[in-house]
Amino acid sequence: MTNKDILLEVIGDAGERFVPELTGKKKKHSVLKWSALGGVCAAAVIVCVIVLIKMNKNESAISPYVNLPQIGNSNTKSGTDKINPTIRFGEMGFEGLMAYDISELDTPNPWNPDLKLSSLPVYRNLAYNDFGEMVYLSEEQMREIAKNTASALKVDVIDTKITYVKDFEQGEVPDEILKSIYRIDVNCSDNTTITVYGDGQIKIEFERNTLPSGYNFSHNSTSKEEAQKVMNYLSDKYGRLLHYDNALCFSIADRSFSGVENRSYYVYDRSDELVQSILNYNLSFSKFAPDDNGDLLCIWLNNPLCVSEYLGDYPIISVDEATEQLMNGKYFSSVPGDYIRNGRISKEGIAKIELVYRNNKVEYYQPYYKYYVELDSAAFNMADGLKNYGIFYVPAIDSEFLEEYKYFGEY
Amino acid sequence: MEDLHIIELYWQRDESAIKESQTKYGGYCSTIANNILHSEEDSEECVNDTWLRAWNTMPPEKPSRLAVFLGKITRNLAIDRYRRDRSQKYGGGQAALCLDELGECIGEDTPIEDRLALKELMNSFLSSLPDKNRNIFLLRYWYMMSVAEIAKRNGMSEGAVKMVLQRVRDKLRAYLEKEGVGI
Repeated sequence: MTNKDILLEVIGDAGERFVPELTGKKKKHSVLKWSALGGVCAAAVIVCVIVLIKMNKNESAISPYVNLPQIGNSNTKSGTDKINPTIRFGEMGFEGLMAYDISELDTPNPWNPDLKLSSLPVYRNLAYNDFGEMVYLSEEQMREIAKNTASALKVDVIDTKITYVKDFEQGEVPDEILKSIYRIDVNCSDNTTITVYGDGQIKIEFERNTLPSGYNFSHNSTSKEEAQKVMNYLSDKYGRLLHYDNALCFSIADRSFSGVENRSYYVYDRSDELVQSILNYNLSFSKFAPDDNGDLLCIWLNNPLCVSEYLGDYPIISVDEATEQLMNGKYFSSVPGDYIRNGRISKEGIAKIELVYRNNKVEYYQPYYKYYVELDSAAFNMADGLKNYGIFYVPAIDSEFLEEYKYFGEY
Repeated sequence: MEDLHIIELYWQRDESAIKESQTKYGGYCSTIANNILHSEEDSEECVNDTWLRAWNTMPPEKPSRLAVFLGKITRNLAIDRYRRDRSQKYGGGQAALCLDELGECIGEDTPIEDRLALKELMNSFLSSLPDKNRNIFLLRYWYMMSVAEIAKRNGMSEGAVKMVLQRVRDKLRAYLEKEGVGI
């Protein structure tokens, strides 16, 4: 390669702050507080801030999902259908969390290894299909959700735009899916936009939603205590929308390779009933996101069980049994084998275990044991002392009730 | 969709991130690729590869400016393709012209070995330029935009743009010579 080739490449690596906008579209919000990081923030980590708030629900408010079936666990039955536990991770990248210590990754997961659960419910995701488009709800149902959301926010609906799958998808996708509604966007009187997706997920984007002074709401420069204060305020302010009885707020802070935190903000409805709490924590949570100026950018509301079918309660294996499977390579993970210390997971390498329901475009909402395994630090160019924890999943459902499958990590 | 949301979709391993990227930045990245390759077909391939590369890098990366982040990926992919095809005289876009022009700024007698040092020098050089000149320089050598396009975008004559580029190149050459790079 000649020197001028190298010069051309080096110009391509010019600091992002120098590169002029080409889109011609002005940024709505100005400078990112963490832009000094050169745009290289990374990985996942978590510092949890927990606060229990008695919601100040307005009696006149209704849940956005009020007219959809709400699955409780009052009428339980034993599951008989076999469940496919296979996890599809997408094509590239791997799931890993970086922290200086595993204690930074504490979460308010209502499950802990000391709890002895013999069974847990499993649901079929009715919005799932093999073509990757999460669609199920009718136009009428989606409009109803949007209307209820607008009502909870006390804003008026101005206009509505419908996006069908066929608007962006082509190829060998069945007509039934192509004709389905992917999402509905509703513009509201204060320029708030409410988007309802075909699987019931709601996104609310605000044009400018400034928090009162005294709140520090950011991805990178908010402490654990400040995050707690922000979420106290926001979950109270949006109590009509969330419609939770007992809102449990927590923040999730991840670290980049250079060790900088990146915080996310969540709230879920903590129930006195353990299984309901587990379901709410994993599936029916809400997420709040700040913008570059510390204003509230958007809220995501999740409630996948409103488009799900209850299949029954299934027996689950113990943590010890799951750990045994993990050590024998019977797990699902996107972590490349090269990153595992000595090529094999050891008990000493397991830093943390959780029980979770995955909620990312899955066919079944089913429990997994989630393992945080410290990876070979030599494989990563990280700040001194930083650790990278790879994520490994072992199905929690007793194998008798699982379809035949092949583990990704099978030795 | 806001950039932060798109990045979040990548982090959630939600493949609609690619859809949203295509919607918002497909045209932008196509422009960059086409500037370099001067071929719609090759540019489209580069842009498609851009989403996959972005998928592969987020996480762990969380770009502060998604447009530039994606544009940089497209630029690198297009330059790689340009290099691969250059021996076959394929392409004929702005890359060849840009390379010729940059040849004025740097000698070939001493091969550059320390790219990191050169990168630091380049950033230092860019920070020393007036905003307008820096933008014109980067429109030409980062985006590889034609002189005519730059002139139109900035409301200048092509001659005036060429003059600015010539002056910045002269200044860069002097700067690199002073630092002992690629004499």
